[in-house]
Amino acid sequence: MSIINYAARVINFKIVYYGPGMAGKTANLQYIHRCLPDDNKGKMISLAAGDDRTLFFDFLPVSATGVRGFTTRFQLYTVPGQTHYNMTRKLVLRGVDGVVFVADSQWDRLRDDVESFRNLDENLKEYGLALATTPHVLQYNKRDLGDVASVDYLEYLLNRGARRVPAFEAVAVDGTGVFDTLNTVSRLVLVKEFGQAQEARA
Amino acid sequence: MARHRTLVRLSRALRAAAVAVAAAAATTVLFEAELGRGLAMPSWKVATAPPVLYLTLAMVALRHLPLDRRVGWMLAACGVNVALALASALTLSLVHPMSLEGALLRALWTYVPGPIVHLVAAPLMMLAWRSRVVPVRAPARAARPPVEPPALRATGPALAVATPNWDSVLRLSSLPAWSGGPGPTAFGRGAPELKIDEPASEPEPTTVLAAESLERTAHVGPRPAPVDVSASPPVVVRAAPEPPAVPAPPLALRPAPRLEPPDEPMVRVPFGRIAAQLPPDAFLLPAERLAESLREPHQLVVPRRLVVPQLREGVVEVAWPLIEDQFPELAFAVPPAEMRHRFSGWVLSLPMDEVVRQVPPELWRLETPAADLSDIGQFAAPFDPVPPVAAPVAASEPTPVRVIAEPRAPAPAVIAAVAVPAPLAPEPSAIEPGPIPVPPVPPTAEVADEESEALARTLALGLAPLGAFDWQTQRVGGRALVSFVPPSLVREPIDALAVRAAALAEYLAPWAVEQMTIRTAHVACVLTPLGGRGCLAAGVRRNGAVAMLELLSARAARTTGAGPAVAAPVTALKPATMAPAGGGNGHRRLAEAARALAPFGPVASSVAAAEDAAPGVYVFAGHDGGLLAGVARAVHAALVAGHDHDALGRLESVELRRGRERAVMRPLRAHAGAPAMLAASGEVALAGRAHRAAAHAAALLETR
Repeated sequence: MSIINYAARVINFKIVYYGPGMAGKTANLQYIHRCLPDDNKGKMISLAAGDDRTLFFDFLPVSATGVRGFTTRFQLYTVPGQTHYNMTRKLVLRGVDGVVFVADSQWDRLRDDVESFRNLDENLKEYGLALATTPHVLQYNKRDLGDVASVDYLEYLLNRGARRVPAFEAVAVDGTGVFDTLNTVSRLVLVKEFGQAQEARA
Repeated sequence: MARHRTLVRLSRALRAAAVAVAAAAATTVLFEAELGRGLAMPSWKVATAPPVLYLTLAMVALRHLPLDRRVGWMLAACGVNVALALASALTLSLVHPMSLEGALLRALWTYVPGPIVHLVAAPLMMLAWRSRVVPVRAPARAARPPVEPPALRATGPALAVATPNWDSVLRLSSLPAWSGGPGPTAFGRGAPELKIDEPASEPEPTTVLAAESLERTAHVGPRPAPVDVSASPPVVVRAAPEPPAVPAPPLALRPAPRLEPPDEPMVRVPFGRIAAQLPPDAFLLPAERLAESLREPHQLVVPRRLVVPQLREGVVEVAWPLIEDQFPELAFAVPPAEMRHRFSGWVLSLPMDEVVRQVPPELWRLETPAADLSDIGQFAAPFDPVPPVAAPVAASEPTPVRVIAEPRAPAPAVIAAVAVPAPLAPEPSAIEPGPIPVPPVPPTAEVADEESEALARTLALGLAPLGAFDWQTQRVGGRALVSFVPPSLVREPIDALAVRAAALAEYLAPWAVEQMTIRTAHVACVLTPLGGRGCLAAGVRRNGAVAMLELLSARAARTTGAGPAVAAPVTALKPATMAPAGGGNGHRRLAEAARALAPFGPVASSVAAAEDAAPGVYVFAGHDGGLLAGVARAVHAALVAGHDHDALGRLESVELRRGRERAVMRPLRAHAGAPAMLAASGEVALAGRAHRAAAHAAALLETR
């Protein structure tokens, strides 16, 4: 649910990077944080355990160009991917406007991808949301590794809706596909928000 | 393999012989102990009991066998019974003074416990050959027709015509239902009610291959001929009505042989890819020989129709009963039945790359259309990245300098006949007047910005094993100082000590201090620099877990990304002028102190005489004694002078750590108003011992 400050003409969106543990969600945010100009980003807060696994969540506020008189701000969150942090994932998903599902492309992580995707679906349902109506994109990360599944098969596993959502191959550590993913999910969120506003006005 | 078979036979014979010996021995022991000698039973009962009992046993336990085989087993058991009686008679005649005939008579009839023992022991003996009596695998293999080459692959024979009922034993627990598809879902290969349609005729485009429908296959009655899944790509299964409520047959681990089409497509997985999943104690053969012994050498064969429904799970698992008969029976370390019992829930995960490669993409490739994204064209891309730049190197940061260790002169572990001026009197030739290095204490300000809060939370996680802490963040000279103090201690004096210690650490940056531990009479404070992010200070009671606090602090600092301290050119620190401790102007206490400091390794003692307000320093170090004396003076100026004795107690020691090198500074109780310090440095393996050694050395120097 976007938060609109009409007085300040600012609209805030929440985008959550979801996916199994060690898939590269934090790496996405870190690359975004490195590449955005200082004027467009806030401080990235990352709470990680000793082994670099996200313990609670990462948070990165970024601002984007103005849209129809509003300044758009996106709050980027990640979730801890480990299965036993589901309560945290649920909390982070509250009020989400868009989701980036970061999948690990390696063969031996496919089961985790599928389980995490189902977990995303279930957690959204607890907030009365459906994946089909929530702007989301898929990111097939770690494409630079050798033992990765084909994109076709990843699509078969994860992109099974009535309409296939945008999916991106990525190597988050070097930035490949990171901004394509972010820009697309952001635009999907904008389309949903301003499209709905237009429909409401009509 | 022939040798292995011989071993198995020998093993069986030994087991049977052991039972026979036990029975004979039991009979003899009972007889010798005069147990049951008074029992009497009619001879006809004794004679007829074994056939009756064994026949009953055969009828009940071997009911699945033909009658002739059951009778045969009964006769064999009777024969074994007689043989046991003979063995018992032989041992009785050898042990007890009686004739063989008399012993035989007692073993067979008159001594009742004997026949009872034989009655029980005979079936136990025959258990060794139970696989011959109850052939578990033989029928399926015997019924196997001559191997024909498969239709799809030139190498390797096709799966035998008589194969287990795959569906009835397919593991279900690992195949959770897909929640994304609407309506009841079913995978209908085995269910007659399911209809497989072409996707064009299906109004719901979502592909549904729910594995839970496999559960239903165990509840349906007659099994139809298997559906060739490859004939209908992509598979779209219409939600089927519930199958008729037919009582579910028990899930048979060993189903009856079922005819399969000989050209059924198979997935072949190299045995080496799954060998690591096999329990090591389940097989007699090593993995290489086991791979050669497989029905299709070096490969496991799984019907493709079992694989396809699981493809959407991202993992393909097969239950052990499905592949069991591809292993040679003699390779099992335990009987097959026990194997199935012991590993009832055991499944093998097949390597997905092998599986997917062998499944035609038409079976899983999606044909659903892409979402319409034309609307997003009205919005420009919100984010325009700039190329990432490497982490900027601040000009003020010290350039990493590779410190090349100077070749050390072989210093004696203990310098004998050392001499030291006592009290430390300035020697004109050894003193260079200069300013006393006093690290300035920068102004502090309590802060609560997000970055500091996040830093504090990260550090708090690292210190959590030590219990509850109050933490506070303040700025010291532009850097964050996060201090953790237990609620049971007064925070203010510890914070003040931490601020001074942080300033000292800043001043000693060229010395590359990784950690500083300050011990007073009441508290211990551990200060850990966090690189450019500031410092972590944590206090505990003096008798608390200081070593644990040091360890956790260092670990917590690493989680913040603080890198190792980098040594700057040592010229940044002002060394003190040293006078060698030698000659005849000292006393034996210094020698004893040097001897006590053995945990620091070979050290040489030297002295920096007091200068104005700067204390004299007794230095014990292998090298860089002058530098260490300068550090000790800085410690004195920053921490000893102006120390809050009332709140913290006497300052006992300051310990600086840099890798394995530790430097311990202790203020010495002044005599005649001249302040003095002890400074000992070296590579320390046992920190606690070194600390105690420094305390002992200080005590020696304070004794006059």
